Amino acid sequence: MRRQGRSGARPASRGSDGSANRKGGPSGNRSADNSSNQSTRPSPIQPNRNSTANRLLKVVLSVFIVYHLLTVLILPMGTGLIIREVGRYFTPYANFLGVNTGWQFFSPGPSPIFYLEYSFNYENGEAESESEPMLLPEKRNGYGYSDFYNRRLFSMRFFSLNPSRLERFLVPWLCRQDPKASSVTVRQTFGEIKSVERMRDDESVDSFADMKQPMNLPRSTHACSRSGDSSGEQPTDSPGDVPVSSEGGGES
Amino acid sequence: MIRSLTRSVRSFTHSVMHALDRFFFHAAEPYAVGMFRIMFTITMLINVLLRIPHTEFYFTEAGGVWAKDAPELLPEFHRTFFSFHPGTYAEAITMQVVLVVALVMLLIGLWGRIGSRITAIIAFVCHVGLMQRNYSIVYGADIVATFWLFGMCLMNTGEALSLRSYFRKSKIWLEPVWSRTLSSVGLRISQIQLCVIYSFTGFEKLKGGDWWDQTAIWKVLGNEQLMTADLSFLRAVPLVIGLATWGTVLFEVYAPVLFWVKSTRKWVILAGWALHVGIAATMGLYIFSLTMLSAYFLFFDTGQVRSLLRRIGVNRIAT
Repeated sequence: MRRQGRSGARPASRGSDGSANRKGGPSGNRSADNSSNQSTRPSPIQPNRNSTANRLLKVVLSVFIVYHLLTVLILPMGTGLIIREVGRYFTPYANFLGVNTGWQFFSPGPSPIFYLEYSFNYENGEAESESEPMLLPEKRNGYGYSDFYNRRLFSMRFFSLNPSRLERFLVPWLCRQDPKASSVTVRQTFGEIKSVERMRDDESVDSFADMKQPMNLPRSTHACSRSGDSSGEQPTDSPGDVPVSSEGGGES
Repeated sequence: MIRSLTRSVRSFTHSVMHALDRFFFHAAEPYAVGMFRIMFTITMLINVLLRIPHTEFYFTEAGGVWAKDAPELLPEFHRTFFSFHPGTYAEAITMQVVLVVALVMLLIGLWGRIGSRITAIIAFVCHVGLMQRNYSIVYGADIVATFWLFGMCLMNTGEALSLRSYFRKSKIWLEPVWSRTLSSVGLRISQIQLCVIYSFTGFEKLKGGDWWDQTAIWKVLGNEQLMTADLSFLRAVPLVIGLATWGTVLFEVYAPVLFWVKSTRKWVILAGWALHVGIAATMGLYIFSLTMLSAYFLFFDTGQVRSLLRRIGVNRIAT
């Protein structure tokens, strides 16, 4: 049987620096670094904890703790006044380490069902044609779990909800899927679920698929650049494409 | 009068400094860190292994992001001054393999106070580098993992519940003060980070009408892109949906405080586990939920960890 020689298992007592090791804080068995009682049991940490080196370490760590905690507290504030005033002192550190995140899981509200509908346009001389609309990501066949699907869904949202990202990254990618296409037409389609109170007594619906209220944003057409680089051309709104926001109009 | 006031201020300042010293530098908890390490590295291994088959799509131009443009995916404010993302498919594969190897080493606890930290730094660099290559496919589990890996870079994660501790000849060892102090800091900033995540998410939810209206969970349940099953039958019991919605907000707003109160900690942890198990079961966000839950172990003390291990039948390690 392993003998409990390490920190956490010993009763609270007074540390070698005279500090009371009180139990109670989160992970609060502060007898963890208790180095007393050495006559009966070796210390789990080395003594001389008040040495100059240790004091210096604590000073350095204190500065680090303050700076790091300020970073992770300030950066999630978005674009507030504090960030505008002092953000530049924290962003290099946060961006380099990837700790520059805002925390907004399902907030301020859950995302609606969201697809990007796209179709390819072809030019053959004077004749023009358009492919059948497709969805990105594709509609799932029933329910289930796929990490790949989830990541493509998040990726599509990341690109689609920002016009410049859509133009610069997603459109060239779509164009590469069909080398014959001269342009690609996209529109965002959303689906909201009807209210639970309305659906509670509605016996005509069986599943969530019947409870959706689709809503489509206007279509926009983007020329496919074939130069091989990653940047596309400016988007052109097609005047004939009007928003469709009617029941059943959003799903293909 | 002034002398008395000065003495009081000095005494107060000393008490505060002493409390901060105890809080940040004397909190190392090897068993809790060990449990956290095991659960988190297993979760992250699964996460990375699920990503590897799609490396070409995720980390090359086949996914729409050219290597030279990768930093520009983010707004200028969030761009790093130095990017170390993989440039080619081979580099992406290599980084993922190195990440997997590092995670396996961390999982089994092969190294001691120096090795475990170096391994965590290697894993952290690979993880952040891969995220920098394509931020569009990054989601909550990856982002939270960044913070946990960062914490592990400071902690001696192999001190307990590890292969190294299992086969250690001497049953008692000396942990240098610097190592224990660093571990304590890593533990504390990870604990605080968990609270920061919940508090910001909770406050953001308070801005949303769906959460005040207590219908947000209904909208989540109806999202065919995320759900693992059709739970539309729950419309028969709207009260359950309302309570679940409001309970989520209450948890996220109050948990960051209640984690630190000894008498409520157990209940907050149970509520958090219920919340994340629910998220995992209904929405399939297994990796995210497990990543979040792994950090809950950091709020355990040694007695609780050992008791837990005994309950699940791992007596040899628990004793």
